[in-house]
Formats: sequence, C-alpha cells, structure tokens
Amino acid sequence: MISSQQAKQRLCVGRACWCLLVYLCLYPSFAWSANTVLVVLDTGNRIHQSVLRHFRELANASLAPESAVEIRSLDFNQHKAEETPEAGLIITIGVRAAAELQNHPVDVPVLNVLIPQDAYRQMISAARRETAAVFLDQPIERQFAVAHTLLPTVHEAGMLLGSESSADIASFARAAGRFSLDLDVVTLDRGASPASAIQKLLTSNQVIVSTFDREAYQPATAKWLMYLALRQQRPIIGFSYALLEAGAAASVFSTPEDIARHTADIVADWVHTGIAPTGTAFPRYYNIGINARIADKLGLDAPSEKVLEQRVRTLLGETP
Amino acid sequence: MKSTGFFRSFGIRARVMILAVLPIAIVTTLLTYNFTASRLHDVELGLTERAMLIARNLALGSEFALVSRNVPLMGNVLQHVANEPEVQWAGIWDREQRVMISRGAGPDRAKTNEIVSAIEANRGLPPDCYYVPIRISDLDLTDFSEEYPSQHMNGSSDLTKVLGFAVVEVGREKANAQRVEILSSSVLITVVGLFGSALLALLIGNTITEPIIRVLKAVRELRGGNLAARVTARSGGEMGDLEQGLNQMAESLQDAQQDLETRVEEATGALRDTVVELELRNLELDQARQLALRAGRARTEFLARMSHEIRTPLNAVVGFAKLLEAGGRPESNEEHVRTIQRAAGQLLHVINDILQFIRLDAGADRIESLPFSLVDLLEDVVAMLGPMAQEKRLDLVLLQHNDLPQTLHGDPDRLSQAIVNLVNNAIKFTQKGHVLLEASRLTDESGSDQIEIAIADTGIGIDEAEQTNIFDAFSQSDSSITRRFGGTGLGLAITKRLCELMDGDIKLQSTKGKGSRFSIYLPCRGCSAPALIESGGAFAAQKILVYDVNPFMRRSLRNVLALWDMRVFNTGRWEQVLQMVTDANEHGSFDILILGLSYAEQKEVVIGRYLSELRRRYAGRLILLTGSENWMPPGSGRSDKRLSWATKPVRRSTLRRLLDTSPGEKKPDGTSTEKALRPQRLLDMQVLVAEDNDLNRQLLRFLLEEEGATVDEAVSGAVAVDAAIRGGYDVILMDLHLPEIDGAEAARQIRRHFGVEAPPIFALTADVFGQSHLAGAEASFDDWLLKPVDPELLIGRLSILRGKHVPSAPSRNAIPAKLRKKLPTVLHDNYLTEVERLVDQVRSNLLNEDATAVSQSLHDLKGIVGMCGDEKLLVLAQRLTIDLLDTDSADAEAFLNEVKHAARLASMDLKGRE
Repeated sequence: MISSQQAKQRLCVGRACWCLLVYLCLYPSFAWSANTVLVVLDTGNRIHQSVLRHFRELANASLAPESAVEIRSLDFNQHKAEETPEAGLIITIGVRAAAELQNHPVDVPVLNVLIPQDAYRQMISAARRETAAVFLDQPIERQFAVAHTLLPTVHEAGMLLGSESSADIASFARAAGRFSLDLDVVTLDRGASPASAIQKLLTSNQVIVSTFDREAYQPATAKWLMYLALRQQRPIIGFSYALLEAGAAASVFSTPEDIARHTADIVADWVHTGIAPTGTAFPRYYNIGINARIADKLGLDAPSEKVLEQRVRTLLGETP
Repeated sequence: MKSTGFFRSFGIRARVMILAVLPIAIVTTLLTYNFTASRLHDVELGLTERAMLIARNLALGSEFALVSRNVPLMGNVLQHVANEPEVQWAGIWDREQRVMISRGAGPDRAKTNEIVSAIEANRGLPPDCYYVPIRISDLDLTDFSEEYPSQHMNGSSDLTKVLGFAVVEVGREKANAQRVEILSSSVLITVVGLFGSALLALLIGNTITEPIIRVLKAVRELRGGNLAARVTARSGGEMGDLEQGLNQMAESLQDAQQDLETRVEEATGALRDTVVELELRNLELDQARQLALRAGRARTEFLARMSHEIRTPLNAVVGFAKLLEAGGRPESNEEHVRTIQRAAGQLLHVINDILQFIRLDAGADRIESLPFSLVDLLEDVVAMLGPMAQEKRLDLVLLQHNDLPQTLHGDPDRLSQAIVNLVNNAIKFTQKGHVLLEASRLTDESGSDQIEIAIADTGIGIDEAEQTNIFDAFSQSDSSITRRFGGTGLGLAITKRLCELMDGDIKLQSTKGKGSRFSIYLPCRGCSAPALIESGGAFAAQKILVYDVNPFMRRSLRNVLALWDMRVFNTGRWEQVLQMVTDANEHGSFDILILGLSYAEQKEVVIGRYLSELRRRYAGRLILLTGSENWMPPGSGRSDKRLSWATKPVRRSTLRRLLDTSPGEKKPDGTSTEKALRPQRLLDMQVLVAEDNDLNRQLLRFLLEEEGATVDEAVSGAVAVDAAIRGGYDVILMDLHLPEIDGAEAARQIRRHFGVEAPPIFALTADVFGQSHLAGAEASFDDWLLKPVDPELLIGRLSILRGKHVPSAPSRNAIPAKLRKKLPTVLHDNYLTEVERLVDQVRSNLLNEDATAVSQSLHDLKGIVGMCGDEKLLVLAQRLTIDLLDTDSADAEAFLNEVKHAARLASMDLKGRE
C-alpha cells in the first residue's frame, strides 16, 4: 500500500522529472538561437573551408567567454532540403550560398561575405530584401594609391573598362584625381577587337590601373594586356593576387583570412551591440604585393612590400 | 619428325654451328628488325612530333596575330615557321577554313579540300599534313574565380572558341634520308653482327667440336682396329677428362688386346704350326700332283711316241717277215732279213733306253770310281760315231786342250755313255756343218778344277722356251722333231741323270736354227796328275803345215801336233797352202803336210788337182785325212811313196803312227790300220763262267775268247764254287739261277773262302731289276750284267778290271755283226731247239700255275732268247715276266708262239750267214 505521503512524494518527483524533461527539451533551442551563428557555405570549396576555419579561430578571439558565439556550418545544399535551423545570425560564404539564402529567405539577419560587388548588386536588385555584405573587390582608391606611391612621377593612368562600367568612370576619375593622376578610360566595346583598345590604352598611358570588369578583363584580353604592357614597359596595378602573378607590377588583394577576420569583426560587433549587421563594405583587411621580377624588368625602384603597404595606408589615411 | 631426322644427319660441328648461330641470327634479326622498326617509327614519330610542334608553335605564335587580325604579324610568324627545313608549306586558316596567309609551295586545291574535310570531320589529314586549332587560351585574373560565375557563363564559350587553324605540310626528304641511313646502318649492323656472331660461334664451336672430333677420330680408329690410336689431350674441363678417359680406355683395350693376342698366340701357336705344316704338305702335295700330272702328260706323250717308235720298226719286221714266209728270190730275202734286223735293232735301242732310264730312275745304277784316260775315251767315242757322221757328211771334230790330265778318276763307262748320247744327238740333229767334241780343264768359282766336255753342233738348235725341260724325261723339243728324227726322248734325261750320278752337271746353250752346245761339267778327280805330256820323238821340232777348211779340225790337229813339239802352220785356204809351200821352199820347206779334205774336196778330180799342184811345189811327206772309210787315192797318188792317208777323225795314236811311218813303208790303210791295231782286250784273262744254260754258256765263252780270255765253265753253283776255290780266275761270271746252289749263295761261299782276296764276281740275271735279285747279296757281287749279255758292255766291264778301259758302243745288247758271223755252229744249231724247249717248259708251267717254276723257266728263256742278238727277240724277251701268269691263256699262248717263231727266224738268219 502506498501512503498518501508517499503518493505525494511520488507526485512531486514525477513533476520534477517532467519539468526537467521539458527544460531539457526547450533549453537547446533557446541556447542555440541566442548566440548562434550559422555559416552556410559550399563545403566542397577549399576557399570556403579556409574562410570558415579562420572565422572559427577569430570569431571568439575578441569576445568574452560568456559572449562567445556558437558557430555552426551548413552546406548550402542542405539548406534547401531542410528547414533552416534557428540562429542569431547567418553568414553566407560565396555567391552560391548568398543566392541560396536569397531564394529561401529566413527571419534571421544575413551577412554575405566573399561575394563580388557586381554579383551582390545583381542579387540585391532582384531580391526582396537587402543584406549586409563584405565584397571581394578592393576599392579603386587602393590601386590609385599604390600607383601613386610606386610611381610618384607618373600622372597618366589608364583604365580598360567594359561598356557596362561606363557609369563608374566619373567616380574612378575622382578617385584618381585624389592621387594626382589623370585617368584615361578606354572602353572595350562588345565584339570589337580588344587588341586595338589595348594598344590605345598602352600607348596613351604610363601606368594601367585595373579593376574587375567582366567585359574588359576577359581571359584573352587580360593576357594580351599583360603581354603588351610588359613589352611596352607599362606597369599594371592589379586587383588580385592572381593578377600580380600574371604580370602586374603591384597588386592589392585580400586573402580568405582577411575576409574571415573582417567577418569576425562584424560578428563581434553584433554580439556586443546586439544589432544585426547591415550595409556593404570592401574588405577591411588587405595586402599589397610587388612582382619583383616584373618590377625589375620595368626598371621600377620598388620598395619592399611592407614599406609600400605602410606608405599606401598612410596615403589612404588608414591606421597602420 | 623429318626435321629431327634431317638434323640428325648433321655432324656435331654443323649442329654446334646451328646451335650457336641460329639463335644469334634469330635474335640479331629480331633485334635489328625491332630496332629498325623502332627507329623508323621514331623517325616517323619525330617527323610527326616535329610537324605538330611546328604547327603548335605556329598556332601559339599566331594566336595574337589572329586575335588582332594582324596579317603582317602572321606573315612574320609564318616566315619563321617556313624557314624550318622540314616545312614545305605553312598556312593559317580562319575558323571557316579559309587560308588567311601561307608560305611555301602550298597544297593544290584537291588536297586543300581534303584537308578541310578532314578537319571538319575531325579525322586524319593527308600524309605529311598537320594542323593545330588556334584557340584563345584562358588566363584567370581573379583570386576567387568561382565566385565570378558570370565570367564563365558569359564569356567562356566565346573566349575559348577556335580562332583558326595552323596548318603545316612537311617534306619527307630528311626523314627518307634518315630512313635510308637507318636501314643501311641496320643492314650493316645485321651483317656485321651475323658475321661476327658466326665467326665467334665458329671459334667457340671449334673449341667444343674440335676435341669431340678428335675424340671421334680416335674412336673411329679404335673401332677400325687401330688400338694404338690416342687422342692428343689438349682440352681442359670435361673434354679433357673425356680425352684422358678415352686414352686410358684405349690403353686398357690395347693392353687387353695384346694380352688376348698373347693368349691366342700361345693357344694357337701349335695349331698354326700344324696348319703351316699342313699347308707345306699341301703345297708339296700340290707340287707332287703337278709333277704327277706333268709326268702323266709326259708319259702319255711318251706312250704315244713309244707306240710310234715301236710300231714303226715292228711293222717293218712283221711285214718283211710275211714276205719271207711267202718265200721269194734269195737276194730279196737277204735284203728283207737285213731290213728286219735294222728294225729290230731300232726296237732294241728304244727298249734299252727305257730300261736304262728305269734303272737310273730306280737308283739301280751305281757309279764306279776308276782311273781312266779321258783322251782315249773321247777318241773311242769319236771313232765309234765317226761313221755315223760320215754318213751325214758331217765333220766330227775332237778338240782336246793340252791341259787335260792324263788320267781321271770316275766311271768311264757312264761318262762314255753320256758323251755318246750327246754326240749321237748332235749328229742326229745336224744336217750340215760339223759336230765338235771339246774337252778342256777349267776352274770354277770356288777354285776347284773341273773338266768341261762340250758337244757343239751346227744343227737345228733348240728354242729357248724348250730348253727348260729339255732334260726332262720323255721330252723332245717338240713333236715335229720326234716325227722327223725319231727317238724316245730319254737320251738327254739319261745323260743328265748320269752326269748327276757322277756329281757333275750338264748345261745347254742353244740358238734356234744355229746350233746347240751341251756342256758336261765333272769334278776333276785325279787332276793333280800331270797334264798330257808326250814326247815328240823323232818328229819333234819338225815343220808341219796343216790344211783343213774346218778351223776346229785345224785347231784339233794343231793341239795334238803342238803337244809333240812340232812347228805347226795351218791354213784353211788351198791357195795359201800352195803359197806357203812355195815360200817355204826358199826358207826351209815343210817336213810334213797334212791335208784334211772336206767332203766336197774328196772328189777324185779335186784331189788329183791338189796332188798335182802340190807335188809341183812340194816333194815331202804328205798325209791325207778323208771322211770316207774305204777311200783310196786317185791315179798317180797310189804310186806316191810319200803319201799316206787315214780316216777323219783320226786318233792320236794313228796320227803318230802315220807321222812315224817312214817313206816307202807300207801305206797305212785306214781299215787295215784299225784291224792291226785292235787289241785283244781281255788277253790272258782267266774267266770262270757259271751258267747252267748251255747256249748262254757257250755264247759267253765265245765272246770272251774272242777278246783273248781263257774261259772255264761251271754248270751249277757247286761246280762254280769248287772251280773258284781251285783258284786262278781273274773274274767269275755267275748266273743267279743255278742248280744245287744258286748264284748268290755260290758267290757268298767264294767270298767266304777268299775273303778280301776274292776275285771279282759279276752277277748275271735276266731280270731288268737285277738288283732286286741281289737283295741281301750285294756284298757278294762286284757288279751285275743283264741278260742277254751286251758283249761290248761285258768286255768293257772286264777290261776295266784289267785297268784298260774299252769304251762301250751304244748299247743295243746285240752281238755285233762281225761277231755274229763268227758264232760257233753249235750255238746256231742248238739255239732254236733250246728256245723251243724253254717255251714249252714255260707253257707247261703256266698250265700248272706253278709260279716258281714259271719264274725259273722264264728266267732261263729270257737269258737265252736274246743271245743271238736278234732285235725282235730281245724285245720279246723283255716281256717274259711273271706277269704272264695273269695274262689270258690265249694271249700267253700267242705270245709264246711269237717268241718261238722269232727264234726260228733268228736261227735261220744265223744259219743263212754261215
């Protein structure tokens, strides 16, 4: 026979177990959604993995332990198949993940990193809402600053642009002017021979400043630009490490670690402020490289990369 | 399987060569093929790669020019490409396969179309044409290219599309030159490799095969029986072991073989000796068989010849006997009888030859050793056969050299018989010319003295092929000679046997058609005696001229005259005789001239002329020597006191007597001289004749007394013994068949009585094999004589006892005609009666089949039947043997009648002569 007291005790224990069970069931969802960052990426992409790895290393570095965020990753393909888990912030790495989140929107702030500026623009123009983004591209000022720093006596800078970039020419010219450079923009028309445009560009300019333009910098065009520029002793200031390797005298570029670091800064701000990131930005962190071989062939008196970077940052007004 | 057999037929050298060369050749060929093919492929590949590289470079080099549509730039690039030696043509086509620019001799339109279609169909181009699409190559300028999908989506297809084509056509000259070089070098390498490998294989193969071949050679030699064969061990290793092993094996084999041979030699030595002995026996038997066959053939020939020799005179005898039986004129009958006698004499001669040969062959004749005068013997022979030569008008010359000894020791009778046979033959076989009997003394190679007695003639000669068997019995040089000259063919055989019996020899030199020379060589027994030395006496140193056309005759006379110390001149030309005589008259004329007249000169006219011519120049003594026995000088010659004559050949004694005869003495007639000189050869000899047959006894008495002997008779053995013991007999003739005591026993008793002083005792027997009857009694007799007794032989033997040799005439066992005329009448009267009595006795004994009595009566008959000298009876007597017992009775009867008939005829003949 069970006594009433014993029955009460038994009832209390049952209630306690039930409550614990509910807590346990509810606690993860609560805890997960509070400071949880979901990184959506192409897990098969080596660069994405690199960005993720660096992000994991850097995200909590500037946070107090109690503010630490939980970083979870999800392949963008899985995001399609299942319901997106609860998270405080979703970071997409790459264009495809960003496009996936745009196609399947969630009620969670989204930060797109490692995405070209023009791709982001195209995506935003077609999307229902705007997301925060960190671009792949470097701001053009950085190239002009490098050009000016490396070739302080040069004042004629040229740019090869496609017809679709004509809207940016004014801003580019202004930016060049800040560094005492006269910008000569040569537009490459669709279907026209790039050779003549390149010849024109190289003939009338002492330094070529490049920016990513899908019309102007087709692989064949870029190759011959590099070839002819070298033959005509015209230094090119590039916008990527690949361009530096291809023959640019100097180039400005960001690495996956730079991107991860910039992202970690944004996440830290979100944790500290509780305000979801907004707006777009060029990579905060960047590098300046010099192709010593090309520089030597061109007869440039190039400083070391570190010195050049300091001078550029100084020129740009950035804190070293 | 065929191939295996085919290869099996190869030698080891070939196999090794195939083994060594074939794999190398195959490997070399395959390697060379592979190497060549690989190199050719490399050349082709190189050409292709080179062309593709050029095209690729052209594509790369012209990419910018094509992008920029910079045709001059294309031209520059193309010119660089076209300068490549392999490139024949290079061009750049746009993406629509239109030639934008080209260099070199481009392909024709058809080929261009083919290239275009090949490019469109993405298949292979025509040979030596290569193309590379000119594409725009990618250059990624972004660091995160995957984040720029629009870059690939929008521009990738256009940017990587084909701008055009770089086409190159290469020439194959260089490649072909390389191919030729490769093929040449490959062929050269192959040939050198094959040759080198073959040479190496040959050298290595030789090191393998040579020792094997050496071993094989040695094995073949060993297999062939040459166990001394060895391998020259020069190899090492296994072959060296094999060579050494083979040599050791061969050595072992040789040792074993030698050991085996030694054993076999020992085992078969005796057998071989036996076989050798048997072979020798067989050889001897074969020789004997050959001899027997030859003898058989000779005997057959002889029988045929004898048949002829016997039947011919027998036919004459029978024929003339029938004529006599038929009767006729007395003159004709006498002639028939003489013919029958001649024929019977021929028969007797034949039979005597046979008998003597048989005696010689049986060794029945013995040789005496008596001193005798060879000169006398030769002169007797010449004197005896001179008439025979005269009949044939032949010169019979006796040439005696003066170194001959005065006496010799030997058997004069046998020697005389041998010489007579040869001279007789020489005369017989010579038709013209001369017969020379030459005696000389010579020294043989051993230094011993010999006497050579040569009989040379100018007769028919003997063929060289026939000379080898001329001395064989029953042989004459050929059958034609037998037919032409007759004869038994035993004469030379008998002569040779006689010479051999006298320890001499006989040789023949003859030339067919020119003549023969038989030389008897005798040991010169008694040659220590001085040579002939005779004093010349009164005519010593006289000057004498000898003329004879026959040079041998001149030499003969000169030798004799020189022996007598005469000064001899001789010539064979009559004119020279006259000249020499004329010349001599001025310086001293010849004392004596001897003219030997040839048969041609013996004509009366010639001799008359000779005498006339000679006497005009020479008045001295003249001696004529003629060939005719009864010759008389013609006309005036008979009254010539200084002329004397004699018959050629003249004895020395006769010649000396002629020389001694003073002029005016009685002219020595040849015949009368011979008669006067004939001595009684048994003068004063005391002879005892023991003979039971009266006729035989009387005949012996007559013969002996004719020679001056004194004869006593004994009719039985006992009487003979008594008479002999009384003594005084110089010789006893003892018949073997005597009554009371037979002859042998009587002789033994006489010898027992006298001992060594016993007189010579001669056995008389009618048996041809007289010695058989002397068996056991040889020591009792000094000699034996065959009945019927040959008078000359009897006198000759007895005269030897007197130390005076008288040569015996050719033995005919016939009583000479001159003696037959003088036979006592009693012999004539009793002869026939006795023969008939004995024939009847034989017949009676035959009927009684009493062999002993038949033998005794036959012996008596044989002893008496030939005593009258009748030739036919002598022949018949030889058939009186014990064989009559085995003869058919009718034949025996006929034979005995024949004997009786012959005896009757003989008796008539004897009576007729009286």
